Amino acid sequence: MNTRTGYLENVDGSCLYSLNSTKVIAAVTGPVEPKARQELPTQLALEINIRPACGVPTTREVNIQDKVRAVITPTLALYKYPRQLCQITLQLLQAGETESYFHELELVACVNSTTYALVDSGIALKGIALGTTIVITEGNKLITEPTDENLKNAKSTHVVVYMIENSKPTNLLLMDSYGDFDQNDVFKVLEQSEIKINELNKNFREYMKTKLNNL
Amino acid sequence: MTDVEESTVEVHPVSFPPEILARISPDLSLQRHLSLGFRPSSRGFEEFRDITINTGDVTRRIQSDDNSVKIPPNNGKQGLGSCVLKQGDVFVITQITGGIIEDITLSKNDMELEDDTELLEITKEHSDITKYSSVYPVVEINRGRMGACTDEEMTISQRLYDSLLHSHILTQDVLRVEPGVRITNEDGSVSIIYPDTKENKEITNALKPKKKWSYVLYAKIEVFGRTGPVYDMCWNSLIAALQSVKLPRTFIDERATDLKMTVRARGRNAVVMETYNLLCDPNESTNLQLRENSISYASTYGIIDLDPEADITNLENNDDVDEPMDEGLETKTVLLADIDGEAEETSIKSTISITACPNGRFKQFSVVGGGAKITKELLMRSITLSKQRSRDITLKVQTV
Amino acid sequence: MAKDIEISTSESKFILEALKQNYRLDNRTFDQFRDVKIQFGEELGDVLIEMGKTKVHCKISSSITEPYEDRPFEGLFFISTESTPMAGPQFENGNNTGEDEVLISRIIEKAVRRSGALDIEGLCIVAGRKCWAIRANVHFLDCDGGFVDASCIAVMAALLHYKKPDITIHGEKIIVHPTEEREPVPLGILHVPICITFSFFNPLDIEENIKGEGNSEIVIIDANLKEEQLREGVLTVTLNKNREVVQVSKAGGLPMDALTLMECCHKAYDITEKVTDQILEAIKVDNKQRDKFSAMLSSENAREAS
Repeated sequence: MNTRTGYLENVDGSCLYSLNSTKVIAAVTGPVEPKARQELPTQLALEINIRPACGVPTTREVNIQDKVRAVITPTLALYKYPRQLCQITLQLLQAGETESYFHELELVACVNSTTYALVDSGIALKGIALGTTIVITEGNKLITEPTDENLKNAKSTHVVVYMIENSKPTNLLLMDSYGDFDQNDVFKVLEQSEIKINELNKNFREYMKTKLNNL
Repeated sequence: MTDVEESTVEVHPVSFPPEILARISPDLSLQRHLSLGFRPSSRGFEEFRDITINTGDVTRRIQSDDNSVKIPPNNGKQGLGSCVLKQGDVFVITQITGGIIEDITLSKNDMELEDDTELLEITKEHSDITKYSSVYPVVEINRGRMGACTDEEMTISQRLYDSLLHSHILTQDVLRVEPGVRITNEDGSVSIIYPDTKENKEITNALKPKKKWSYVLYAKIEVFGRTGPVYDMCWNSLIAALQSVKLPRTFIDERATDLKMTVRARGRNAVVMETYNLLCDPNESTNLQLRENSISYASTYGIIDLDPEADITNLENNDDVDEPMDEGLETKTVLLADIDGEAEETSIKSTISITACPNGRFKQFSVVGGGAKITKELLMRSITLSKQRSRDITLKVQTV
Repeated sequence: MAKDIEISTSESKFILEALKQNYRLDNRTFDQFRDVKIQFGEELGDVLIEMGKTKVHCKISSSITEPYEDRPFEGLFFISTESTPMAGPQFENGNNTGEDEVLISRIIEKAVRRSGALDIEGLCIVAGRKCWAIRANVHFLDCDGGFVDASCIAVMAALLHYKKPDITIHGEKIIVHPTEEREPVPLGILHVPICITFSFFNPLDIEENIKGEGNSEIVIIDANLKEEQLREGVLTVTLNKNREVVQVSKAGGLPMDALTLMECCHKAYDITEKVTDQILEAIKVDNKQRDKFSAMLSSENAREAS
């Protein structure tokens, strides 16, 4: 995994994120003045836009947007910015998976890069969201951070995102699984992903620490 | 002292009738209901809405303005399959229609069918998911006004597509078109030969062109009277409708099997094979073969923390309001099955949606946890309920 | 929500005064094109161009489709340019109808597609039935002026870098070979058009500009965002290495001397040559890196270097 915050000049927060072959840029602008129809009287409005690496946005991107929104909304201190807007734009540079079959890797890349970009923008957060992809192979083995080939041959694919508060994973924000699996698999995946997300959180804190020290 | 006594204003508690409270503070209204042990819809916590399913009933007049590819009347119905589902007050009508497309490129799997071993060798390790197919759903939630499709409709459509693809319910093989050949016999009568028997297969193989076609299925899902999240209903309706799908048989006229056309552009000539020469048989159809053990049904659950301060029983017992209320009161988290209604939809931020087979395998599992913490116990409980619900729906679909 | 960039009066006066005294804020001379940084991604046809703070990403994708009925011998080629608030607050989501945005995509379209830079007849597979559709997806990442110039370089570099999968026509069928199975085929590029944008400033009043004898207008190459906001006229010329003018675009603005146009073309040619060579060199280096094993796989006999 590779991250670089402050990549863009004209937005408040940005992050160039890559994991294996998936590459995405997240840009955060906010809090800014919203359009009249977006404005919420008591809290911050959130606008998320995802652009695919190739072609125009379709229902597929709307679906990813919906999941990113579900994950990011609980992490923001929404009531701190009434009648304001936070604009998140995600541009995929490389999907890293066969787009007609999967969206798992892109979803996780979008969530993680948005978290970095939000922290970079300095907007108030209640916690951070970090996620990972896990596949279960035909031989019942768990693979974290799979490749496109792993996804294609997997029996089931899972995306898990945890909320991190006080540097511990506290709340399950999202689990999105497809394929063929049973309840034991669900719990195995949750357990495995919590370990992975702890590790991601460590990386995240390490990254932010070096960044602050170099200011 | 007496002065103070006189100037004190007595505060009367404001009270609203339940239906008004439900509008102005859906959150509080829901909490009050839950504290009494039932939900605004007067269902129990783990009680589902009643569900009725009818398949294959929706008919439409035959009309086709597309001359090139005709979908025939399917026993007088244009749709290939359909389902009407009623859950609570919500109606979901699913119609499956279809078309035929020519496979432009050879996929790896096609080559396995042809006896082309040399080419096969190279691409052997190619995997599973590419062998499966899906339908293209369009979800329309009717709200009594026109306009561009909403994000919710797009999200549900995409989720249905993904879930169906990854549930491995449809293989590409069953969607492959095996055309017959219409031949004019010596006595002038016309008959259609389908490659059902070995003998016929030889005849059709000799006559039919080497092109390949596939059926594409579309699902138009219309939701009437939406009262809450509808993904599970759309999925159940789609699966029920798919089980009623009959694909029309197709044939090619023997004279058209080798139709060629010349095109000219900028002084150059080229011979172009005519594409649209496949006709659909108005009388013959086959059932769509689904992978039976992959048939699954969906259910949705909500998770909410009970707010002890909203507890009506506490309010009545504790007349002395000054006493600290939170003492000894634990926040209880409850699971609500099949969330419905405005109050539940807006107040419940943590949801679980499970698509389960009756045998206990899952096809899709999604948890969104923006609100109450989702514990292992709650997950277990929802899993148990989802299996039960899946079995119930299976019975309902089978008895149709 | 889209917001226009506002430059304070004092800042704009400062920039204009500096220009009058032959200075630019970023210490470039008037005729100096910013250094172009070309980075290739992991996949073929994935290019990131940086010019100063301007960043443009271009990615080529291809698919097999049916050609247009009236052009059975040609493949399809699209360039999609869409801007998002990522590049700057002046851009809006899902609204690419702003004057600037339309102009940018039109100029790139003319420079690359209508100049026939890509050999679209070479994209034909079976006449009238099947052909390649090539799509150049231009993503504006960060805007500090010069979007037209940077995107044109990005599109051309990406097209030169891209290779489409090899195909075999198998009777009525087309077999697409995955890249690991057969060496992919580069696209047919007929020439490399490069856009150079000139910005005009008028140090005197408008009357002097039209009626006056002297040509005191200030001409600068490759303006940055602030200069773009303040300029009074703009000219984009597109040239290729063969000294051919592909496109000249001057949509109104400050009137300029006809001879200045010739002068601009001359200046632009030098830059075109330099940039073209830089693109070709970058591609050569990248191809070498990708082709690590070609020496090993080559059947050429090892020869003693004497």
